[in-house]
Amino acid sequence: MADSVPTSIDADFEPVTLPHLDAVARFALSLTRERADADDLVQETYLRAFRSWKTFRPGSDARRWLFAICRNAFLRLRERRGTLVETDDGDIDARPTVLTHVQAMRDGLGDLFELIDVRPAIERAIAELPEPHHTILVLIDLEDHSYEEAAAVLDVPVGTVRSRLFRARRMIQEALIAYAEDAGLHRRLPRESRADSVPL
Amino acid sequence: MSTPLVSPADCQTVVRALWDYLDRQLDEPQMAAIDAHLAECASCRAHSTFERRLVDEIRTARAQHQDAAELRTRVLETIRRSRAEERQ
Repeated sequence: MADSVPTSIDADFEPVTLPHLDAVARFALSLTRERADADDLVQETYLRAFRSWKTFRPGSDARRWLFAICRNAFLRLRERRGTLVETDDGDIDARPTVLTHVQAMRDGLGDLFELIDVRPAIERAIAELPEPHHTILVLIDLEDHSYEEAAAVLDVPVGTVRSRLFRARRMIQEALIAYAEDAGLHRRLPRESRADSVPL
Repeated sequence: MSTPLVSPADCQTVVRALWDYLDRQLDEPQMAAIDAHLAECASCRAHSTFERRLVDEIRTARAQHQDAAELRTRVLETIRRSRAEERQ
């Protein structure tokens, strides 16, 4: 189809989409967890984007458009490989996370950020998050999308984004606490010295 | 949908709305109600400080793609090959 992509529109593709290459690459890596697979996914994303460039509305959010294409390409790949395992549980608010912190305070880990270098544990916890929580966390906390932008990329309601994000953060917090316990920081404090906390 | 707040906010309400507060998803009166509660309540302040630190640590964990130049070249080659095929 010689004229499927008119030259005048075609010429805009690179200046509009390539500035987002690094962000798409980070997103692809967060999805695949493997550098070689991520690079292939980025190529596939840009190829799909180029072929459907005429559907892009000039002036709209190119990064969001590319992320959606990347996400769909990744899902298609996972479906073909038969490795897509998604769970859909989320937290409706911050209460479960705070309850985890309450227990951590009781165990003497309320200030664990001051006790250990949490960076390795954070990075591992992010990498090990299951889908769909991993993708939501990457979009919002690592790529600075708003709740609404993430919802548009993933084609889910904003409420779903919220609940999955909250659950993802709780899972990371739980992993951090486990990391601190493994580091030998877990200690049962005398009852009278335990931190007071909200009656939840 | 964010958690509805009453003013003055109570501990249970603040705890439930904590993520929305930290992500600045609430409107100004709701943010102010929680600010006022945190100024008075040490327990909720401790939770808020901890969860804010958690999110800050997560946000600094952003991985940088280390070989973007090579990847950019590969992407451009792919696009140009596709462009050439479409024009044939």
